[in-house]
Amino acid sequence: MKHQETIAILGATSTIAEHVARIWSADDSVTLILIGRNVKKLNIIATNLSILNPSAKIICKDLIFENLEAGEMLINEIFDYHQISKVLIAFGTLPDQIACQEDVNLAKDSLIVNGVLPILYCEMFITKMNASAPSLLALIGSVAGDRGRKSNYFYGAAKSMMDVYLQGVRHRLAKSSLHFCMIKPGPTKTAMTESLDLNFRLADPEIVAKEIVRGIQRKKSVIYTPSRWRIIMIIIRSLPESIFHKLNI
Amino acid sequence: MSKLSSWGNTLSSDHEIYNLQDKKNAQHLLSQKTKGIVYGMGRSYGDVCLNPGGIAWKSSALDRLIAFDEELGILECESGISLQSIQDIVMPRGWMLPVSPGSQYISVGGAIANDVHGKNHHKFGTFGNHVLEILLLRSNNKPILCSPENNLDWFKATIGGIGLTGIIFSCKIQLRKVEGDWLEAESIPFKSLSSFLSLSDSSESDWEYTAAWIDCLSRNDIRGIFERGRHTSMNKNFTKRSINFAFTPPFSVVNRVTLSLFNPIYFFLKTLFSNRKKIYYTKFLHPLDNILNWNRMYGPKGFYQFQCVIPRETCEDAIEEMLGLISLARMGSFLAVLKTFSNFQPVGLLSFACPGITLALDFPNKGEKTKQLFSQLEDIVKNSNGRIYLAKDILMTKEIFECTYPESNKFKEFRDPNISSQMSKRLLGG
Repeated sequence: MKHQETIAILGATSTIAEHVARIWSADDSVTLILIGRNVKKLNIIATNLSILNPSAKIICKDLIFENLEAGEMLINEIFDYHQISKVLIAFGTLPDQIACQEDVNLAKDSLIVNGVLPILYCEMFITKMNASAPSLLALIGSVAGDRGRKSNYFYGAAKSMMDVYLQGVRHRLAKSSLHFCMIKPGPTKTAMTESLDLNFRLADPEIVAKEIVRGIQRKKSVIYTPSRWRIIMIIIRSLPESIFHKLNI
Repeated sequence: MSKLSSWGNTLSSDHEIYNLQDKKNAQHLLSQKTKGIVYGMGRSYGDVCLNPGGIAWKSSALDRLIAFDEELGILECESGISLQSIQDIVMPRGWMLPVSPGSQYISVGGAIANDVHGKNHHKFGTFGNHVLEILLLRSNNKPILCSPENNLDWFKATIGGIGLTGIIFSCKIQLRKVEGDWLEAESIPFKSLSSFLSLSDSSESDWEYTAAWIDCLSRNDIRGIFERGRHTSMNKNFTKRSINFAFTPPFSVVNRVTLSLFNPIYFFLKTLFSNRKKIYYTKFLHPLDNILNWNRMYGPKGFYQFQCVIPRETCEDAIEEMLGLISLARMGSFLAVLKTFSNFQPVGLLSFACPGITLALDFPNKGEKTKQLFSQLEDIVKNSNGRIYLAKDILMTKEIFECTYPESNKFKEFRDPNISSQMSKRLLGG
């Protein structure tokens, strides 16, 4: 009999997470636990997944991520009934950089929701997950976390916090069976990027999701998606400041 | 602002683009002061989905299924999902969309807004014949749930209503049962319009799908290949392979030289291999979907597609006159298609398909020369009581539109004040 797999997705209403869920839910033996703030949206997504594959089991749980106490209770409740083998933490917002510069409270909220909270939830899952069974935790970061830029450094700083956190966790748990994956999507066609006025083509979330699933299957530690962003970020990271400061990016 | 164009690539223009995410967000965007048009998959050929300098609401994220009754074959879905996605989901469960046009890469919303037809019009009519319900968002009012039973006037305005009556958010579609996804198909050469008509008429009772390719450069008489197909109970795995037309060449590869080579060879090969064969349904119904971005072969200037329907009484003279003009102008294409529409009456006020013969042709964009030819073709259509397909059009004049779409004035009552497209400005006064 095929191994039953249970996957938890935090921020399941995010466009990328929804597309990843579509791929994972194609497996008949999967149970997907979708966690998000908006229960109505979660139900719409869950219904779609259930029609796509009636054999997959889809469970919706609503959670205000800022309420850590509720979060901890929910995670405990989930582990009472399920053995989770994969966790994808995908929630976040794209803050208005200028507004964050002008309003310290906005900046604080952005740093918390995009950096602090994903880390804390990751930590909560680590303490509950069975370190001897092969399992995986993946966080959706961003290429913005690779180098601070004037146009989005509050967002980038939070995402880069995740990166350093995962490096540490990976170091700490190197001997365990837990695998950690940092996903760094380039700008993708999502609800988050809707208001951006960009000169280049946004990546298709369906393709990004496929690459994420493939990267996770291959147990990659860092996934740049679309993959060209690995090269782009190598170049951007290695630019000396004297040149970097002249760029309007 | 970002550039958007439709499939014909004759007009690429700046749009302020917003992605429709869900009902609340769509309602919010629609209620803003500035006018927009929904842009699905950009597969219509002309300006029905374009709003240069204005807003385009992309519907590709509205791609979720809402309910599926596997017993009755009723599918409810959001409007941005593609016909191809639907077929991939429902066909393994024994159901199929009753009507799909030449390409499956179109959105359900687009299929409704253009009331599309397929090669089985004589059996199943148009897409609108199978829509059970539409949820229409309006800028100045509550959403309207319309169907053949409720709000019929809104239903008739929205089917084929070129996206102007509101945002089609979701719909219910009646699917049809299908035994297998392979067809039995035949190709039969013909050498005159009357032999096409008799072939078509005699095939309609036993063959679900019929259409003909014609060589629009053959000067003396019309020659072509009549193709017919019907479902079999065969279910065999089929690996879909497609090639990508990866770049836009600096000139149209569809030109006098390539056409004069392609058309006779194609005719010869089809005549040679005209035996009955089994073919996967997409290869028969959507052959061009196997070449991704095939529109690029017309080069940077793009191409126009002309599709009209002519009533049966006047069709022979009109089609011969049109083909004569095209042949004289030496401007035809690989893709010239003839098909009969049977007695299904149009569902929507602006629906295209009505009883008669439809002719569709692509023309490389040669500027004024092509426009002049179109103007002559439009006159023939008007004089023979036909009409031009809005999903393909970018050149028709308001006068011809009003003459050939007699319900256009009535349609105006149902327009949403916050929706406009280049087509609405061109043909409907705003």
